[in-house]
Amino acid sequence: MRQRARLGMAMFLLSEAVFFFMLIAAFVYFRDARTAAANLRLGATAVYTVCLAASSVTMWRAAESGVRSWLVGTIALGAIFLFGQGREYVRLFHQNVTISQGLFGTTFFTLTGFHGLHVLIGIAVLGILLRVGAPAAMEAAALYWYFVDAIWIAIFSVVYLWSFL
Amino acid sequence: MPAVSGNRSKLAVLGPLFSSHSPQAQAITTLFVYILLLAAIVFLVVAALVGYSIVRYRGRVGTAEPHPSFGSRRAEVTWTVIPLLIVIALFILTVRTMAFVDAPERPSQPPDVIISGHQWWWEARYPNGGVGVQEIHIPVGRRLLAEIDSQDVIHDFWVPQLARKMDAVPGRHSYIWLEADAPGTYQGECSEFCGMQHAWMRFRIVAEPEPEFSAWVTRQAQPPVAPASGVPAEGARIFQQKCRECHARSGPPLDHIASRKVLGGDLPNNPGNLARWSTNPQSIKPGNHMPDQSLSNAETAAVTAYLETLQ
Amino acid sequence: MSGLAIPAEQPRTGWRAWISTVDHKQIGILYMLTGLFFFLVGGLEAMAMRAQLSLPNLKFLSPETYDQIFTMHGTTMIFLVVMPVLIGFSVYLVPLMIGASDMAFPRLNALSYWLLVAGGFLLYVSFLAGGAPDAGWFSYAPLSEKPYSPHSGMDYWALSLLLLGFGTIASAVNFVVTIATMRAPGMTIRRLPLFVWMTLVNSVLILFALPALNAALVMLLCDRLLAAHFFDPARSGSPLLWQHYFWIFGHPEVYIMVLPAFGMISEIIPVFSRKPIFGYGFVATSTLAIAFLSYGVWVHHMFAVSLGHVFLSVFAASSMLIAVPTGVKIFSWAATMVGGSIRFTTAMLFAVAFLLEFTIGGLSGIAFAAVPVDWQLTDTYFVVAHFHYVLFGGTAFALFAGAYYWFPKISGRLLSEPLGRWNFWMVVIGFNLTFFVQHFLGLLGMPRRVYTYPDLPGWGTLNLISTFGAVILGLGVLVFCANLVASMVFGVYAGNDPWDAWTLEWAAESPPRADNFEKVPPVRSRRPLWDLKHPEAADWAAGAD
Repeated sequence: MRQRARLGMAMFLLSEAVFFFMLIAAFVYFRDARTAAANLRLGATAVYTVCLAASSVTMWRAAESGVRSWLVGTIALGAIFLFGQGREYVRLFHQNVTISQGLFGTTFFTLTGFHGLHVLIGIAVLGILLRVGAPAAMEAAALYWYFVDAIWIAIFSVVYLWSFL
Repeated sequence: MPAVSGNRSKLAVLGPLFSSHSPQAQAITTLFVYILLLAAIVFLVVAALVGYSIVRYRGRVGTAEPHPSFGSRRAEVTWTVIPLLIVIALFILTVRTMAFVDAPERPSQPPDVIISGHQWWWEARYPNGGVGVQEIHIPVGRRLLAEIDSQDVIHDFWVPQLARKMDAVPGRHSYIWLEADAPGTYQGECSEFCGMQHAWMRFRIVAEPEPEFSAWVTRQAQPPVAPASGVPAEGARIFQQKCRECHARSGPPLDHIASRKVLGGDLPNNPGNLARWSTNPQSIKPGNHMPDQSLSNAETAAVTAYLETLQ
Repeated sequence: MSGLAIPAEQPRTGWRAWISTVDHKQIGILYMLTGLFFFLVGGLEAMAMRAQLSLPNLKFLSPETYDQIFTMHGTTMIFLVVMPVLIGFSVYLVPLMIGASDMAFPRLNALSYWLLVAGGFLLYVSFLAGGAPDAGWFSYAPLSEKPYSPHSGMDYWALSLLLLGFGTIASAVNFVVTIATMRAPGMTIRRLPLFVWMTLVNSVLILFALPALNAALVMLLCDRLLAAHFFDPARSGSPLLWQHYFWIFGHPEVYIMVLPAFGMISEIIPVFSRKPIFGYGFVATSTLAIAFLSYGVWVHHMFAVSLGHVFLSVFAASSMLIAVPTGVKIFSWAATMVGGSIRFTTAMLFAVAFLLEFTIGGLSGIAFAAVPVDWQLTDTYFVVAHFHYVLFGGTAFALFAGAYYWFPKISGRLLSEPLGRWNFWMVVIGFNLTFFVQHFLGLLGMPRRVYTYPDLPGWGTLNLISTFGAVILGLGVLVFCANLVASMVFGVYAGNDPWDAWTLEWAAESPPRADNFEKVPPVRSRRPLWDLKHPEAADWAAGAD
């Protein structure tokens, strides 16, 4: 049973990887490092990135031990990450950088927006698991969470680090 | 009926690919014929194998199960290697034909004509400033470098007897060789779905001897002469008021409309059709960007008379 | 899956049972019937198109209506007919063929089906909501963007395809896990029935291809609804990016639409030739080759764009190369028949016709791989002929064969053979009349996606013949539907194994019991039932396992 859940989630994540790869490729195709560096804040985002990375550790602990508080911690760290994304978005809107601003806005918001959506869905799933725990589901959810984190590392590298190099 | 020039041989009945009038189109047709023969042979082999089995190995009531056989390495290798060799030969022919037929992606010379696709008409601009609309003239026997672009959505410029088709992508410039080895009128059509009137985004290439071509392109570059008096002058006034702005901004230029053979894609250009088009274009080409005009009969006659002076 | 078990009390009969079912057999049937329904809808759309095109300059359909109909015809046939019916057959048969009692994730299976219904509904509701999408099933930008397609039809198109895409990806996940973890003891990967193998490879194709479409759709929706600029040339966006993304999905998609059909043919021809498939290993390996290569050919849909000779040549090479593993299969199927004892049931008739029609379609495809030929013939009726030969003469014929072959298992009764003959001949004659002449129309220069055409020599006559063929084809399809209905009521009872076949599904009852098998037969080769019936000539003893 758990093997099936794991394999199923892995296959699903394979398809998600392709989806994100296509969005990242579009960002890279239209890449404009100057506009990116001018509008983004590397430091603050790096802090929130650390939070998300930490949440993978707490997720791992939650899946291993089954103790609820690790799961709560994961949800909290994920929420902090989303909060950070939200602040970044609001700041950019105030600078008139929106999805229709130009190619940077278009690619940035689409890519990070879909990532954020995946984090949100992940938090919702973890919330459900808080109430209705099941080891197989927990393992599958953990895989999903690591994936969403890994995708963020990729996005952070391409969108932030590469633009500020 | 629009003229289809150059019925070289009986094969022409099979279509424009078989009545090519340029070295480029001829080279493509040659490649196609090779492929056709190859395809016919392969199909016959498969059909023969299947047909033979159907007849020879038809199951009869009471026959025992055939002895199971699971395959043959030799057969498998044969029917992998032979197609592979055929495909390699085809690839070589393909690459050579591509090199012969196609203009460079980024040519070092300026184009001889710039052809732009609009929803749903074509225009050709020549270096001397002359503009052809729906009817693109070229000199016989001389190879032109044509630049293809689009002013709105993706179109495709295709004149099968003379040249490969080329997508007209907004924001990109693409280049083809355009030449005809005999005088005549060659049919062209848009070949990428571009909206409601894609079907009638047709055009003609008119190939004529150098002197005639020169004369035509010079005339196209000259500004129209304003009629002095009479009904045409009245028509010019109405045109100025109701038509000029849109036609200058986005509609086709009408400076030499009277010398065109065809209107709106496929309608013969005569005063009757011109009048009909001027007032009720939606009845001819529904969905095109020119709205129906509310002109009185007298106004229509005047405008038509004016347009008829624009040779 | 412990804390969230399926409730024990399930309605046993009636429509409530069907709506709430998680049984793979019922879900498979739902898929097939839904696909059949949309096949009739798409067929009506095709008939409307053929009527409008039967003569030059007709005004039966306005260009506005015609554009919506051809867009809906293509979208329907691909996403609401071929894919659902293929997935339906796989959903029904794969657990039976591997000796399992259901799919790995029965509820996910049901969700996939209901996403199909939702997607189909959303797509068709567009007619009532200001107009159906009308930019063609591949919706090139910038025509599909807001300035040129202001009405909401394109939004319905994109949203419905997203829903359908999720369902398809879910099915693919389900198939991979089912086939990987639920095979009967003894059924190694090398002993998989080829239909199951093709489903497995197909599922991996889906996992890699559908997300590319989802990404493109999401980008298009951002452009249309949020004023983004992915494909907007006025703001430095790239219309070509849409084409690349779409065809990165679109090319594997056509293999997604044909591999399970190949699987069906690989089951049917051996049984009715009374010989095992010629060269199982090669057929299986060539499938992998096709799947792998299918990701490297997409630019052949864009040969008419000025992309540079080196770039185009690479894709010409890969497109020609992919013909080789495909050809291997055709030869293998034909060689299976040689030396056999062929029984001409309706299923076999369709399978043999498939061989010839698909070969024609494949050969016209090779013409397009030769780039300069594509430079003349792409976007003409030659390409319309090509893809109908592979998708109708290919996949649809295989589906008819599969219907006649597996209907007895699914319903317990045989389809009528006399009606089957009528079905077969009307469809074959109608199909070839409709589409063979379209090769010539393309050579004559007739472009595709036109609502009418000028009265040029030959155009009217050939179009009229094509329309006439379409009528016969349509009637042949109706005969099939009549056969289905009549046989459900009056059909001869089939028993477990009417064809004396060899794979595990024929050991189950017809129709199978709820958990499929009372006892799964032992599996020691690729043909477990052959081994049971012929222990003296068992495959595993002959070393062919």
